[in-house]
Amino acid sequence: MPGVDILMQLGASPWMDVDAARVQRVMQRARFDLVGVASRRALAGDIAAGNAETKGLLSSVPQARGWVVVNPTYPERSAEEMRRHLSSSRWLGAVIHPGIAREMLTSASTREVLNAYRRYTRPLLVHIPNGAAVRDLEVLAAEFTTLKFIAAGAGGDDWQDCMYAAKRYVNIHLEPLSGGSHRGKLETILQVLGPNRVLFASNYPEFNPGASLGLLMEAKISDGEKQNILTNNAVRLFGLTRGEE
Amino acid sequence: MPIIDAHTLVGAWPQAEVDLSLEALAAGMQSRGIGRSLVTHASAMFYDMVQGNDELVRLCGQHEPLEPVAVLNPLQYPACLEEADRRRSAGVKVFRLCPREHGYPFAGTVGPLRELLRRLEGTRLLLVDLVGLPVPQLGAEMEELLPAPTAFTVESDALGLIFHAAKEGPNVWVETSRLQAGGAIEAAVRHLGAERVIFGSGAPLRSLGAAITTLQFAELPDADRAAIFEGNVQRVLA
Repeated sequence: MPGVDILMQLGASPWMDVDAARVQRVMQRARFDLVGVASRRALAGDIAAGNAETKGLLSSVPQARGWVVVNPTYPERSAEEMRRHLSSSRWLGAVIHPGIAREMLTSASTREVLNAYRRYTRPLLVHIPNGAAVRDLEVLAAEFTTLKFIAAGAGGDDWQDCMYAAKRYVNIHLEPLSGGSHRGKLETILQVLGPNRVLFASNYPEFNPGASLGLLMEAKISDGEKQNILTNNAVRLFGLTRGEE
Repeated sequence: MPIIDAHTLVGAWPQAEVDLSLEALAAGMQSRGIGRSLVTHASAMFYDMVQGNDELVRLCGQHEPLEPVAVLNPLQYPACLEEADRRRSAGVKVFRLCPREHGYPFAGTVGPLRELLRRLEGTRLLLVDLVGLPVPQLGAEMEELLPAPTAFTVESDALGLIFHAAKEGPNVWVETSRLQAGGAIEAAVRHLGAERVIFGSGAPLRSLGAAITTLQFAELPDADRAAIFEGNVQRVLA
């Protein structure tokens, strides 16, 4: 089943380095038509150099799209990175990893970054690893109603909290595949939210793509719903054209 | 290829509402071609070691493809020694230690643990789950205390502890259920050899399909994958 993996990570990880060739190899093995890529160097703090690495990958992998990494520790540099990259359609939007930045999602500087981001009218990918992050996300979703949030990891073990937050706030989308292989998770989320606000990501190399794919394939949902998660919802959310899938 | 799943559960899980019934486990095994499952009873982990193990042995006696994994808690000393003797004399070949759930470090400084490990000399396989410990501990000195092949469950980012301990001897193994990072299973094979890596899923608590696909996705020779899926556990249980 071809698909859209909205998040892979580029750069060094504990057990392998991910470069353009490896991204393409994984895409081929997993039959992904399109992947969103964020830089691990940028997530670790060096946003300018890391985002530049992502830009370099985009020039060599036509099926890749970029995520501009922003970091509320550096609100001005983050705004500059957005200006530098987000005029191009090759970038899906911006990503924040509050766990690495050690900056609360509800901090003043995060709000400053989000205020600057609103003008680009693209989804914001936010790593949501636990229930505390879910509660912060809910505060932001209530405040920034025109911004679409994608909860990457969807709360991890606290995925039910994230699911109910998304039920309360229609501007929250869930990416639960990279948040752990909880059996029955997808079925429950689709029962509560319906099939249109759930997205697929492998978050490779944090996770082996087999984990996400296996969880999706095993889920007791219809083939149409699986196709929505794997492809159609991302196509609609990011406005991808047929040629970009 | 029949698969042996070294990490499965039955019972009631206190931390999530999941169907851990025997029927759920059996259905998953049948649909994914699992030939045999090594199974632990949640009651033995969270409630009472002896009663949980009793219930497990009863269930496994009724279902051929299930191999009982008896839980031992060294903090229940000396009852843990009696429980080890009782289960071994009844034919139980595999034991599980749960440092997180029972609240002790997996370290040689824990006297009852040292004595329990000595008592388990000659057992076929030991399973130890280090996931979720605030600081996973596995001192290199532990290798010489291990009485049998001991498969550790660890998150990918704690694999280095396993690799270091494994340098001291052959009894340090790893189980795959939490090795979900890209390249982690391949690294385990590189450092330990495929013969010391075994497949586990955590089912039905965790997705069996995700666990199988993760191992299928690892970049390994087919012979190594077959050893991990089946051959290694079969060898130690034979």
